[in-house]
Amino acid sequence: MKVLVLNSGSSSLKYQIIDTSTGDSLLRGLVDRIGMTKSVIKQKRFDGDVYELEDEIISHSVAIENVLKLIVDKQHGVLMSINEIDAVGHRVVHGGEKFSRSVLINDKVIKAIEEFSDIAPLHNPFNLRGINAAKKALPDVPQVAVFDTAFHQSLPEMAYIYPIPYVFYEKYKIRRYGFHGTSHYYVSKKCSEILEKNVNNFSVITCHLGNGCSVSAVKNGSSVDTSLGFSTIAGVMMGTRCGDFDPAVILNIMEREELTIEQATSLLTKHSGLLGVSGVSSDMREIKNAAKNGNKRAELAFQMFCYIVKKFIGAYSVVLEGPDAIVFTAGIGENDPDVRELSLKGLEFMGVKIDVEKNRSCIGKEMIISTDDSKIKVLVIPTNEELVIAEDVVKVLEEMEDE
Amino acid sequence: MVKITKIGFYGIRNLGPGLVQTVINKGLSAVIYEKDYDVYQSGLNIIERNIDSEIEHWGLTLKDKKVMLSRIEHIENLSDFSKHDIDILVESVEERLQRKREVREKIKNEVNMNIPIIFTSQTNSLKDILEESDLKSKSVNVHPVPSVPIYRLVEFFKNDETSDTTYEIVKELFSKIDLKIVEMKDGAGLVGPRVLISTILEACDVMKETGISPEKFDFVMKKGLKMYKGPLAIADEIGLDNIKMWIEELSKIDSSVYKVPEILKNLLDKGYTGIKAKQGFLNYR
Repeated sequence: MKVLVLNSGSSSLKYQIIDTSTGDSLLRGLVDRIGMTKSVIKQKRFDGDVYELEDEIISHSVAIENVLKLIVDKQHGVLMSINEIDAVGHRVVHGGEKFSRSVLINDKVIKAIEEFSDIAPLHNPFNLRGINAAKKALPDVPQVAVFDTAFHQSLPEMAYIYPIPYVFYEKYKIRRYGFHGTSHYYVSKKCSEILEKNVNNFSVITCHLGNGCSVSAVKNGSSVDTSLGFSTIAGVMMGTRCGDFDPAVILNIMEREELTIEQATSLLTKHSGLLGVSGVSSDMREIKNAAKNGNKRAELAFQMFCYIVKKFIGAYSVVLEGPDAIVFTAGIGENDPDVRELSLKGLEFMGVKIDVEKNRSCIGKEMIISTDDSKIKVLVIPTNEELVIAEDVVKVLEEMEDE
Repeated sequence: MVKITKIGFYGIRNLGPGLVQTVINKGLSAVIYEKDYDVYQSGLNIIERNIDSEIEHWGLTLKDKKVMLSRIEHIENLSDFSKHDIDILVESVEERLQRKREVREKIKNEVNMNIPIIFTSQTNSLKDILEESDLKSKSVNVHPVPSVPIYRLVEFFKNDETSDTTYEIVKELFSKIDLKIVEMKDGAGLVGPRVLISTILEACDVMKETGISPEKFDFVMKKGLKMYKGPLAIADEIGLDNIKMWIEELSKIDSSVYKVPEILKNLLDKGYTGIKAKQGFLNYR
């Protein structure tokens, strides 16, 4: 089956064609600056062919039309005809409490995604633009929504209710939702396969450390706790996002500096994290370079990041009553041995033993980086969220056929 | 969906800089016609200062500033609007009815594009601006609330002959740049300007009668009435020269209510026009 995977943002559209019989990505691309001046399409085919186009793309509908043309382009495409697209899989950030799994998109699903725009105003409305545009361009092709929050719907109540008046949960559904669900699902499942463990009797801590970061505790194939919460700024400190801290601090700053809600939001999402502490960059590579050159705040940011990841690993080890494995994934998790080493330093007491050489040599590839006698295995597994979306599309359609 | 990527600005006075800032912050381009280079530069300075203030208040980053300013283009001929293929034209000249009418004629004769036109009069009705002009179907009037990049609100009215297409395109623009619209009937002076002017006139009376300082007046208004900014600080931001113009235009409706106060005259005599002069009701040095 050939599945078109779409990830639609406010002014961007990421796309991939995945052949689900092999799991191969045939083509991937990005339409950027939709609705702005000088929109750009960048596309890369499996064989290395690269194509770039600057054009005026006024809406997501026009973006999809362009993407479909490029997919069947004789020189740069991979399909002979649009009819070869069997289904479309959409990444949808927020499925609220309604969706604990992927679903075929119909009017009811669209209405529900619209309703969750209140709690995900920066994501869901734009995901919907992609859905509507794809439905218009490919009206006879089944479309499936895959939710970032769905994997974490298995969290127990004590993990998702916040210690504030319960009425806010009842009135506004304010609770921990968690994100990066497809990534945590993919690497936790992959980890059980690599270690040849029964996923239904297996506990793993998954550390998705990239531009956005989250750590999850996964038990018997289900998420039981996760560090991101109601929004995507909780938990581990990130490139420019703050992660967890005393909420009184932001109230105090807002009062003193007379900040609006928008300014305070920007402070927490664009000026904090690694960038805020170091004053150097939001990029871990630049932070480490600056630290090597003696920048003390960059060193502090690096130390803090690893310390916070370590705290989550410790907390979730207890939640899981002893995990079988720890997985690192995403940009930093897959490519930064220093972060992995420092985040796990001193955890020998609970059975984590890193093979320093293996860890050093592991950059962006799948590998077990713990020693053979390590009680808790440590792995690096490159994430593949698009593949999960494509596989979920197949699953949903097969289940429909069965019904 | 129509193309809305380039917004033309006829002038950059009055509340124009705030609108330009909002447009470029949302990824659109602003093409500004301003013959007087000093006026253009002064408008640009206001935008830069506002962006710097947002950076200082954590609302934007230095990178945002660089990208935003790169989206502004300056033109000196009205015919250049069509070369830049603008999608909507926003009038942003001095708040004088006669000046608005002159601009209307220039747009009709020299811009000559079939695009929506947004007038930004605070104190005149769209009916008075347009008179018998054949631009009626293409025109609306908005009043961006002062500090529009922060408050994200415009008061909006159309005339009876505004076409549905114009109306929809303008609404689409405001949705795109994330400004809430409050629609109302055409009239002289919208909610924001009239209430603000009344408050400023009252403030001048109170300061004269009680000797309270502008700082204390604003403090009471902020803390007591839960305003984000004091009215005198807002006046300084708009420019006291503009405020004077608004009062003079409103005095045509009721000259017994709208009179330029002595305090305001004295400040303007000294060149204290507000934030742009680093001194208005309040001191910014």
